[in-house]
Amino acid sequence: MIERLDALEAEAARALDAARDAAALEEARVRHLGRKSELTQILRGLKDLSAAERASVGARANRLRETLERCYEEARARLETAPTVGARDVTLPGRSIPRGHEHLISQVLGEIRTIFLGMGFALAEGPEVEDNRHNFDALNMPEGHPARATTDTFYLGPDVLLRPHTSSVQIRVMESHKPPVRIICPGRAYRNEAVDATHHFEFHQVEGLYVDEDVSLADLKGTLDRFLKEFFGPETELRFSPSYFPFVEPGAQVEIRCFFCGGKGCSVCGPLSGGWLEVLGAGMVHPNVFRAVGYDPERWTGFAFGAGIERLAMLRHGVPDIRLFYEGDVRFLHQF
Amino acid sequence: MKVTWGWLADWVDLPPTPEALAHALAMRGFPVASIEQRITLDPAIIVGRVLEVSPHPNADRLRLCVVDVGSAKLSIVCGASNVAGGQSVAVAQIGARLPDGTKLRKTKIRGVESEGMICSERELGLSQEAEGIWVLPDSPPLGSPVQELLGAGDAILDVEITSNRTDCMAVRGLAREIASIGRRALKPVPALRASGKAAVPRVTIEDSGCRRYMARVVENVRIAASPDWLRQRLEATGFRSINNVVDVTNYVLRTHGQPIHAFDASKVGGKEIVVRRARAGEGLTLLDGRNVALSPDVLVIADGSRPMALAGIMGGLDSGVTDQTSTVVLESAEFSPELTKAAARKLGLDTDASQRFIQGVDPEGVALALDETARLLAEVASGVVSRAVVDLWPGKEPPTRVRLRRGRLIRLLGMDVDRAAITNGLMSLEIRQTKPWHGEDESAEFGAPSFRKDLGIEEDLIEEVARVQGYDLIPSLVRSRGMTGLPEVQGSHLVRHMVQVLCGFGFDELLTNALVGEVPAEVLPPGGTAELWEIQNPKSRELKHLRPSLLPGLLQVAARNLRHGATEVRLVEAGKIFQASPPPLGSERREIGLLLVGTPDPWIQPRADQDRYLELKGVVEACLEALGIDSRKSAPYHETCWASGSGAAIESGRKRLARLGQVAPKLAAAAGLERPAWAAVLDFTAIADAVPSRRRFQPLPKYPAVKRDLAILVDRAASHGEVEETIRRSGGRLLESVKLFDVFEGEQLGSDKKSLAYALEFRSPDRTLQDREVDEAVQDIVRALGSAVGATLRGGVESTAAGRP
Repeated sequence: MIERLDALEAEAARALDAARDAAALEEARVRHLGRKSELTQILRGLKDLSAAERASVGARANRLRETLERCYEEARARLETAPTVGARDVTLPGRSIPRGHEHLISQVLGEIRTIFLGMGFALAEGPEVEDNRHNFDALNMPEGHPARATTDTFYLGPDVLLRPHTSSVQIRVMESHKPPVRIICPGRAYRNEAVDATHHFEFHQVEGLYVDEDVSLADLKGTLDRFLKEFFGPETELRFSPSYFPFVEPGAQVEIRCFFCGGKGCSVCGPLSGGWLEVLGAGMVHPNVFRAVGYDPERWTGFAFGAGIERLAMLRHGVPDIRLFYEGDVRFLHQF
Repeated sequence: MKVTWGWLADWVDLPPTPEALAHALAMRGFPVASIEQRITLDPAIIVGRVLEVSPHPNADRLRLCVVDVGSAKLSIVCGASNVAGGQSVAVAQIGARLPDGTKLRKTKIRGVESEGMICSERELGLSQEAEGIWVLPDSPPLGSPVQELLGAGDAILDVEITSNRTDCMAVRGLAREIASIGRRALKPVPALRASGKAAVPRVTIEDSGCRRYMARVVENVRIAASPDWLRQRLEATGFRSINNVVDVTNYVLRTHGQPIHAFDASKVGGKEIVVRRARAGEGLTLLDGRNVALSPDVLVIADGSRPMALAGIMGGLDSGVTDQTSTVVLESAEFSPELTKAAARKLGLDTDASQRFIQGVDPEGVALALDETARLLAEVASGVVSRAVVDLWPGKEPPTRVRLRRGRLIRLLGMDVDRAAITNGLMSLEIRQTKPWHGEDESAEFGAPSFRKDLGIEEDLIEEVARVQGYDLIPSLVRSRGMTGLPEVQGSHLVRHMVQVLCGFGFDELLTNALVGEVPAEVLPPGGTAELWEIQNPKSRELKHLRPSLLPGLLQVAARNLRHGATEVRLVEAGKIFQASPPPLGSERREIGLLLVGTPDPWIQPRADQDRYLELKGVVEACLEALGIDSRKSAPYHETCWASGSGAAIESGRKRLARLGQVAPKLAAAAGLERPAWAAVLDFTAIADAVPSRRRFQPLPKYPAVKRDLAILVDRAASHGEVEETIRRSGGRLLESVKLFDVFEGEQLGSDKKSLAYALEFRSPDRTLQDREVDEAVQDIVRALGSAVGATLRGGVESTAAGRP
């Protein structure tokens, strides 16, 4: 009897493993585990055996049933996951849904807006076709100032030009609003200069202006510190040092520690800058600028800053050439 | 500004390393762009002494030299004509690597073995121009590496000087700033020994454009090449060496910022110098050979009879120094910036001297620069300096006085600085206190030194205090205080939203230039070229106009991308377009341009049509829907930029929100695009106006809709727009929606007919509709269609399953 059970185990296990579809498996199950199967007959006949035989055969038969049931479950699981003819190929790629990409400059501008709106700055805009007053005269760049030379600025007429910086928006806002003023002005600017990897005749700037009764250089430092740490990351190291722009006094430039080389000096930050990258020009609004818009420089103080958007984007994302922003090559656009 | 380490070190003790100097200067507002450690010479290039020179047996131009390098005596073949016995020279031994990378090997030159090379400065990378071998000054120890002679003095610093600090655009001025950082003293100027008895010409100043004029005479000048140190410094900082006299004047200009002119004393007629306006009809041949006609708005330096030089701009050829010159008259002066600028512009001349005078020279420095020039001429041209000196200073001005209030300083810097720190800090910059601290506002008065032309107002002094204290000491403060009262710039948020929606439809955002070249006729504004902005000072023909349309830029970029291998290009640009009217600043409008060209990805479902017009229109409509603009209609709208019959406008109310069509083939071809392209232009202002301020909740329907499908046969020329409008007009108030689901044209319909199929939905807000009411409404619609557009029913009216509420 035990030998018969051993033979049954081999035969039944082979049959269950060999089943190639659900029907064959079911047939094998009925034959070897069903009510009429030989195993069931043996189990039913146990009661007729002697006590000694019943103990040994019973144990063996029950073990066999457990084994075959496990074989059956395994075979069923195998069939369920096996590919079947005519069924869905789930590995096919999904249908192409074209995804467009927002331009990196738009993304960066949007982020900058969000950061400054969070610090209580409002958004202001102005025309790109401007006059001398808003571009130069009111910004303490009188006639004869080098920045007014025709080599730097595109002229459309004697008193019509393309703004070479977004600082003109400062003037327009101050002309029409009394302090306090707390704005950023993002937008395009134009300079009549040769195009190379870091210069373009069209580019974007963001201008910032904060005027109130007690705005100081410390406010400027705090604001730009917060901005640059949000933009470049909280570990960003900053350096403020003196600089010169006609419309501010004192003037400052802001640098960040080069994150490519960690300040050891590299091709991005220059071999000797100590790893500092210039990112912003800034300063306290010059009293002549206040006078030009009818603010009392004794009563109001303010800071202004300006940053090149392309430069910020190039530094943060490692874009090596400013021209890539304006060529519209989709192989570039798709990277961001 | 470029300066060598050694040149600066002549005037001030420098920090130990270039990095320390770069940092100190940067924190004072003078970033160092680069420090170029010049060539490091191979230690196998050593000092030797030429013992013997004899002719080469096989070549006329070559010599055989025996050179003592301490450890050995080498036999070297040399081609230079200036080699002579007793000279100390730089010897590259066999195996030495020269700066250009070549390694010296033992070779035979015309049959004679050479055991090394006697180097020229050019071969050592020290000079671009020097001829012949480099004869070392003094007598350095034999066998010592030549590199040791160069030292750190050779490094070239490139320091960025902002345009206000003209005083630092000279080596000694920069040294003065460096000295103030470490509170060190500037090194003194070496003493001038003036023993000559020559008389100085009599000088008369006839015009207030000359503020100060000084002159000295140097006799027995021997014109020759400059010594190495002088030539190397000039060449290292980008200037050509000419001869000792010219080089000395250039050197003084670089060192002291003061232009110096040297006249040949023998050419100064009547021993007289007159500074006056030129007379009408006078002319002058300049040093560079050009002839200029003069007029009374030009200041000249004349002798008794005729002009010798343009004051502050350029000298004349006749009175200039030549190889025959032995006595020179040195001029050091201050000319008015305004007059110099006007004259330089009028004559079209832009020289180092004119730039300096336009910036403004230090009137006190005029004397020092003159004496230094004389001293250097005595040193390098063995001149004898006259004791006599002329100094006329009619334009002497008192120093600028500026009042500084401590309270104002604290308010502007956001940092407390006490009186002593202010006074001492300014003193380190030679800004001296002229009145003590006094009064309620704690003010004091300070006098600006004559070389600081940039100090004129209180804020300038405040910046100086901040610079001395260090910007890094200023505290950092953030306060959030919103600004109110500005009109909301709806633009940027809405534009960004639209671009993001369009990106979601697979369009890539790009930026193209607003400055364009020729504008294709198809996109000219209605007023034609008169409406175009034209650049008055264009850089090139490619940058001539401000764009009146986004289309050409989009087409060009698409063509370029297809050339690069893209199969489909979907582009969106949000940008400004410009018109020259109305005056004075014209108008700027923001538009959003869309362009679709190429073959869609084959793995797209459903497959796109060859004609992608409706696909693009769907994108535009979906974008408007995303903004909440639900009520729109479209109508034919022809513009020259569209292929004939394809132009359409999407309108809402009376506003034209968007125009679209297939791009006119000629316009596309002009951009290098030979395939059909579809484009749309969205008028941002009109769209912003049409955007509902806030969406209002609509109650969800309580009762089911009844649906009917309606297929009609119409003339091929009939438009869906007319049909839909007729259906809506005639469908009664129960008609809720009309949706086209099929357009069919086929031979079985006849060549002049087409079939349109619509799904109609009827619903009542307050009850379930009866079939009978709906059927009546459909009858009304069919009748109206028959009379309005000549439509006939095709097949019956399909009753589709009622929609769930």
